Formats: sequence, C-alpha cells, structure tokens
Amino acid sequence: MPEETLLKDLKDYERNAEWFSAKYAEIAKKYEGKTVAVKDQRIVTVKATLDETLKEFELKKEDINSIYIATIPEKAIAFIL
Amino acid sequence: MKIPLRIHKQFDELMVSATAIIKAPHVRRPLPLEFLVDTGSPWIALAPRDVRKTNIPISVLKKPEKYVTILFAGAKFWRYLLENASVYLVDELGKMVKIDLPTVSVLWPTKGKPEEFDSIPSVLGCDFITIGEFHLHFDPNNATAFLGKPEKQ
Repeated sequence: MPEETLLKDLKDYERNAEWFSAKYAEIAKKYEGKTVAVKDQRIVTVKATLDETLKEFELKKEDINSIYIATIPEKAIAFIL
Repeated sequence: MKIPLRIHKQFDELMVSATAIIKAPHVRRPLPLEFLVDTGSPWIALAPRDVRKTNIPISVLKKPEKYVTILFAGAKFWRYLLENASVYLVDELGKMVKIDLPTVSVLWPTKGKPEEFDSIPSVLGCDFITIGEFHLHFDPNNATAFLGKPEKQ
C-alpha cells in the first residue's frame, strides 16, 4: 500500500476519532454495550458486536480503512490496564 | 518533531491516545488503529479487537521466550509476537513518521471469547517510546499531549 494512501487513511481516521471523542458522553449513553462505526464524522452503523460490524462492511465491500470503530463499555464497568 | 496525541474523556477522566498503522508480515489488513498511551505497559500491544480488524492469523505467530502470559485489564492473555513491524503515525506538520520495531506484542485471551474484550484498547507502551527515542508530554490541565523528539541536525 503506498505511503500516500496510509497518510490519507490516518488523517481521515483521526478526524472520525476526534468527532467520536467530542461526542463520547452522548454516544456512550445511547449505545452502551454496542459497537459503533463512524465515517465522515457521523455514525453509519451500530451493531451488537465488532464481528457483526466487520461482516457488514465486508458484505458491502466497503473499505474500512478510515472508519473509526469502537465498542462502548457497559455503563457500570470501567477498566484499568 | 511532535506527534500530536488525542486527549479524550472516558470513565470521567482524561486519557491520551495515538492513531497509528502497523505494517508487518501477517498483517493482512493494515489500517489505522487507536492506541491508548500506557507507560504501565512494557510493550506496544494489539488488543484482540484490533487483531481481528487487521486480520492477523494468530496461529502463525510465535510466542516469546519470556512473558508468554500476561495480565491485562483484569484478564489473562497469551502474548504472541508480530516480528519486523513498522508503525506509521502523523506528525504535527501532517507528514508521515515511520518507526521500525523488532516486535509488536499481540494479545489473545487464554480463556473466553475474544469479543468479550472488545472494549479493551491496544496500547502504546514503553518499548515504542524508547526505540522511537520519544519523550512523552501530557498536561491534562492545559489539554496538551504529544510524543516529541529533537530534530536531527
């Protein structure tokens, strides 16, 4: 994969990640325990699991390189690494 | 040179994450991933969710000679090694930065299904900061975070 493509993917992904971070409280409240996919600074898919999300994009033959995908932890659970 | 890090809030507190792409043999789908910057981790490590996103076949990876099982986020994981890896990030000028690493750790649960751990992020640990010759700046009160290093003369 050429470096220009990697760079574009990194920048597009970062924009989606920033959008998600800014709206995290609102998204987490609405989609607790779900997997959310963000493309072009909007939520495009909400599924029960990551595998379902990946499968949906695969079936649509959609490139996931710039898509920010996050699984929202359940409200009562935090983790310390 | 500075690599900006993203400050975000989770569990009511601020955390710092980096966006990076890992390229290595066996990474079938190199794509951007989110890494929590974690100086409590000795290694850069891919969590099970990102192993699946990047389509890395666990069965072909070797385990290390030392520290084969690790405790992470309260669960036990096998540690595998992705050898001859390159990590790509973007600096503050929008240019690509590439850091070569001998290995990236890959985590896979010793028990249970990998999807049970999908909230757990990959981490950017101390080996990456050391090999990349970075210093880490995090000032939550002024909302600044970056990996920095002096420009080469």
